[in-house]
Amino acid sequence: MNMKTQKHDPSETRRTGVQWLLLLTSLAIVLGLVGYIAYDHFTKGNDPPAVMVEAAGKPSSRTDGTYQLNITVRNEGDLPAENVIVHVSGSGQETADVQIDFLSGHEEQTHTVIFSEKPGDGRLRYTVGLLQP
Amino acid sequence: MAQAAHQPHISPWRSQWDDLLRAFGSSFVFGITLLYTMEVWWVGITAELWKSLLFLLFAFSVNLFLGYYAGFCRKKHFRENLFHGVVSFVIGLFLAVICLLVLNEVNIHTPFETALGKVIVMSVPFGIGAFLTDRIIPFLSGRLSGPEDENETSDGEESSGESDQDKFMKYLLLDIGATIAGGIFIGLPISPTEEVPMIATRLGFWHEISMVVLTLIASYIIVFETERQEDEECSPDDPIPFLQKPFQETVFCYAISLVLALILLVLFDQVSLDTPLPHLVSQVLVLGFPIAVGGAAGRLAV
Repeated sequence: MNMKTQKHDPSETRRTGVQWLLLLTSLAIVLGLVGYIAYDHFTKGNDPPAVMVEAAGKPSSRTDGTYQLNITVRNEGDLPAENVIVHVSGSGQETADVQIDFLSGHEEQTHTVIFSEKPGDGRLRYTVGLLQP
Repeated sequence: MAQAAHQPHISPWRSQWDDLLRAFGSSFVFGITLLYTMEVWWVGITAELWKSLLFLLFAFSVNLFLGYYAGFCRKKHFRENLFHGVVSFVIGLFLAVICLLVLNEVNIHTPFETALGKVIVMSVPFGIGAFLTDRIIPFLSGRLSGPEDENETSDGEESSGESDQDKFMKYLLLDIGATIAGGIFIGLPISPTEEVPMIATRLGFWHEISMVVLTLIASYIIVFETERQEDEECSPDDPIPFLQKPFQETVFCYAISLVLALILLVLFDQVSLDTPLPHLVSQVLVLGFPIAVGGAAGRLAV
């Protein structure tokens, strides 16, 4: 804005309550953010990503005769995981893959995999691959 | 314009420093979008180094050609043009290094050739931005705001009875509107992309703090250091509204940019209530940078 300059007499400034309120709110947002980053840095652990997978409920049948299973993928570590690939083995030879781009520390996501045969609860196996950023 | 009469004597060093700051401001505005494009980093990783260098040389040559018509200084002699080409090239390299370090795309574990490739590729848009300062800055502050300036003049004549409070509110709303408009212009195409969570995931504590500092410096330079000629037109009798002073406005508009970043992230489903707070904060910071730069360019325009 053209009237921005640093060469004016400070005594000429007009300070209103609204302007002070806006400035203090802005400072609170910026400093609050910086403060939170510092707090998070100094209080959180430094555990590497540990991705856990478990079935969220039982397989349910779909109208087309296939079965869907919800799985919960949770990063129990403090550091994030990138390019997480979960390989789900159902009953028999059937498998399904889930790819998650980013899973931050302690984040949990629910995904759905679909099998043509009913996956056996007890025989579900999960294999996980990930990249540590 | 009667500005010449009011212009104080400026030392050559000061003048050169001002030119450099203007070039930095222009460079930020021009290069910020490509900084958030992962394909650009990948070019730096996958392209052979000699190809990257050839690309840089080509861009440099184009810069020199363009610089004959538009440098970041108004002097048009070939030798000075060449000098400014080299300086723009160095500014581009410098900003590329700083930004890639802050985004953690380059760190001490990055192989030297990869780091060099990324820096070379990223330096091109920053360098072009620096070289075209005398086109970009006037385009933002002059041509875009040209008609408004005329209106402003007539408004000024008509509304000479406006109270200070009314003027302050007018400028305050202009700042807010311009920050949001400029921020959306730059931030909208970036916010739904995968780069935002990707960069956020890779940021450490010092990267996040550096990003806050870099954003504030970039906004300040764009708004308050690129418009020295316009500034000098100001009458010393004009009081500056409290919130339009450099520190206040920079912080105020950065806060607006952060809020806008959060809104865009929510709108594009990049974050939700299930997103862990540290990851959400990182994404807001990451997106806040280009939005704040766009917002600063927007304020320059009004």
